[in-house]
Amino acid sequence: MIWLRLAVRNALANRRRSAAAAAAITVATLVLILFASYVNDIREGMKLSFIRGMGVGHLQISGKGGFGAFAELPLENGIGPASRAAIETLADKLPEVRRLAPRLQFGGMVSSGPRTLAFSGVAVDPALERAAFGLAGAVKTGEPLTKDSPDDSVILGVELARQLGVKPGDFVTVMTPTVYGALNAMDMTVVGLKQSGAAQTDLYYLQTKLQTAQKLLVTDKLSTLAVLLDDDADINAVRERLERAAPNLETRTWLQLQPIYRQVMGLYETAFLVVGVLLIITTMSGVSVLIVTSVLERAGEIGLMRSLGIAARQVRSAFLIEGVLVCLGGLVAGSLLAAIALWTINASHFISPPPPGSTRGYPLQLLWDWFATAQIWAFVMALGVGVSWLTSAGVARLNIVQALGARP
Amino acid sequence: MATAIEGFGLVKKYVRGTEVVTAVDRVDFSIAGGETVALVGASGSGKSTILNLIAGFDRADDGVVKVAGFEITAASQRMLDMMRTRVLGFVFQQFHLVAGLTASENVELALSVQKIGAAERRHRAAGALERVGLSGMEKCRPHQLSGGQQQRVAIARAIVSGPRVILADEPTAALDAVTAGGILDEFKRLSAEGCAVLFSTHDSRCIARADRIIAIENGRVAA
Repeated sequence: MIWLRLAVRNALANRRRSAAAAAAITVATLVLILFASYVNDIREGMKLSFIRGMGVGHLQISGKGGFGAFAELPLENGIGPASRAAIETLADKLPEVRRLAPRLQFGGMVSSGPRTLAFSGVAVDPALERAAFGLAGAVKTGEPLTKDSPDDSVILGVELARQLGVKPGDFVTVMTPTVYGALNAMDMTVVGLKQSGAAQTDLYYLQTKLQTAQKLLVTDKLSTLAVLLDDDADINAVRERLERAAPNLETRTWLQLQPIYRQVMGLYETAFLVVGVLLIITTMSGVSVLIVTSVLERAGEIGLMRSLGIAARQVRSAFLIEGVLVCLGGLVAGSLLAAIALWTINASHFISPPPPGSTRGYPLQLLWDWFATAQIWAFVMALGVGVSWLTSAGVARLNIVQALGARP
Repeated sequence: MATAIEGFGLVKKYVRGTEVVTAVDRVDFSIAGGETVALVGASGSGKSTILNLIAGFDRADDGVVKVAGFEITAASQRMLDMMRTRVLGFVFQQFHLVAGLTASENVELALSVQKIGAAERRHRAAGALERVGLSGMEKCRPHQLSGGQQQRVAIARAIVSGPRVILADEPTAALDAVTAGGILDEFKRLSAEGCAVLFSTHDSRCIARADRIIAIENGRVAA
């Protein structure tokens, strides 16, 4: 206890120096926690955007070879009605599964008057889609698809509509190859325009009702079934059970379907690491100078303790406690300031500039990252302890007479 | 009384630039328990070096020092630490009190490595302070005490663990005559209890209070 008291009093006696060291750690902690919170926001935001916003779901199910294997004809590796019924029955028995959403991916040409453009279409069951992914089906203008929408209803991406020169209420002709290889076409009514935020997606996007697309492709198959779970942690368990129950089918997780997530996060995490290491090295260099000065100034005190028979290890512990106290003060202050800054930023509803490839900004909502905070604390503390330990080691090894003769 | 401090053929040399200076040159001495001995000599004669060698603060280049039967010159660091904790008390000219601690805590510091409970430590520190006439000043910080009071705290710290040997390096040099007299009275009381007291000084009033004198001249025992 006497060592703790001594450390507290020494820290208070050298108030300015302790405050300067703690302030440097405070600033580094504040910046690092905010940066980690920003990265965490990106991480969680992107995940949510892929799984729910873009309707990928946690898992997708398709027939064998349905995810990228060569197929001569459309939907050759799709899910037939019997398989779909089997999956739906199985999913009913899995409490982790919240919703299933059937999808049919198809491609072709869409024309309006003299203009004809390529599209990448997705056909959905509007009721199931809305139940699973909510606003994923929202449109910028016009109406979203509902179960009551006429069968010839179609939603186009805003860029596709702009280049075709159509708006809600206009007619377009949708042409696509059937599952037999022949070309089929249907006149459809544009009911809404969708803006995803990514210009490239909006140039090719076309959405229609599942039964309409099946009629157009002359099939009763699906491309995929998107699976939405209650908890992200259940992905692998559910995937395993589905694959065991239906070996003729194939599953992919959202991470496999959206590899860009890992790439983007890798980029952010590397930036965080580089900035973090640079910031901590810069901060701890300054703090080291303060700690070194503090220890060297008290060489006489160290000499006295050694002259009283206090072992060098114990003397070093006393200085270590002081270093830990200063680091702890900086970490606590930095974390509190970070919490206040995070709350202020989130409450200000600041809109970030659009990310690359996107046409819309998004509200900046920092998300506290406890794991990163623990890492920052551990790293700063380890460095503080290391600096104190190494510095006091040099002084504790000093000859007692020399140490006692040292003057601040 | 049994011999408390012994030195045989003690030699200590320092390198000053390119020159080798012999600070202590084949010094022999023997001090019994209960004796108060003054180590006298001019500044730079080697008095402090001898005290440092006895306390194990510095290593002798040759010769043997024994304190309470323990051979200091051959002792391990651990043994030296133990000696300083239990057998030997040292009083410095400049007091060397820790500014951040109270008088009581400064005294307790000497007990901090012994397996003694906090309450017992406080009790013993209060007893040592009472003995040097500082009862009621336990909570004072060093800057609140006079030079004489600070030196008394330093003595309390040196005696709190009940040492058999007290070494003091010019303990009265920074004090006025009255305060210095009080400090010497305390040393006399300690030696009356069987403790060997060896202090360096060049103050004639202090020399007069010693039982015996060891005079040092150019690193050698002169008389």
